[in-house]
Amino acid sequence: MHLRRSHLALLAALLIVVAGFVGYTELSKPPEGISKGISISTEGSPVVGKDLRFIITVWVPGFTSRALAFLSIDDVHTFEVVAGDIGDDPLELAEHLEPHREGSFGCDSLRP
Amino acid sequence: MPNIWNLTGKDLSAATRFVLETTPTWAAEQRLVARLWVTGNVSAVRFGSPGVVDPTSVFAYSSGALDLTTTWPLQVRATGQGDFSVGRELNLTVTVRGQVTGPRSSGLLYLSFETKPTDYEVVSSTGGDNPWGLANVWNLTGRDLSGDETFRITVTPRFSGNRIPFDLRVWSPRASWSSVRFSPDGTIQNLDSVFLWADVTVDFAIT
Repeated sequence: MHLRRSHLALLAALLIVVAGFVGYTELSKPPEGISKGISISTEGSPVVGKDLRFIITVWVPGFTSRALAFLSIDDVHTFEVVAGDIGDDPLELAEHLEPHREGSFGCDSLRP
Repeated sequence: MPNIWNLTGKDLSAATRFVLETTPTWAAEQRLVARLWVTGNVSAVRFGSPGVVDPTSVFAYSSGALDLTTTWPLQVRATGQGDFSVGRELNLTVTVRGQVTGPRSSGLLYLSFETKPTDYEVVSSTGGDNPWGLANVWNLTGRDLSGDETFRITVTPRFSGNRIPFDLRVWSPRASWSSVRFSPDGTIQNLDSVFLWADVTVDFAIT
């Protein structure tokens, strides 16, 4: 009987661990179609003069930098940035660059 | 810089989305690269050109790329008839077709023939109705471009070679027409004052 109780306790503990792992994995899982790392997609029309939205999705599990960390998208000189928000640039990295205040950033977490 | 986001201290265990609203301004095949990078010192970060991070000056943690082709909304073609020789007259027919729509279509629309004065000299043109009074500029404002619209110009080649180029541009002034300045040889001096809808380089073999 004592042995059975310890088996049950072990089983219950195992179930809790498994459930916790599954729960963590599910929570960490991004929406369908998103892969680990960095991906770029577009919405709109890639025709000159039309609206084109770049969506950069970043999913790097375990990455929380204590150093200075940045995301950049290179070589957008053939595009004019037209949205209205001012980006998150508390370190004023932009001060080191050419003045270009017309522009925007948006950031949405995809986790519910 | 609108193309750089500060992620310091941000937990990226959840997929996070960054959005950049843009308008393409040039037709090109290009590869866009997004990088997640870390640095110990902001002032040590170097830029190859404005907004383009030199990857050797940072620790690149992850990256992703997108191959993208942007196109002009207008198709511009040119054909030449006559004598393709230095000092003789060459008749060019320029055809424009397409539709200009979207937030940048201000209403005013012009076509310009632009070249180096050492390559071609403009002799005459048809319909050069424009506020600058230039023979190499046509007013396309209000024209229906859904079918082929043709414009004619006569030039004299000044230089011989296998590929003697000229540019055909369709554009709208970003502000008033008077903000667009032309150099004495008929080329747009301040290109940042116009929004381009087409920019095509054509070259002919001139003997």
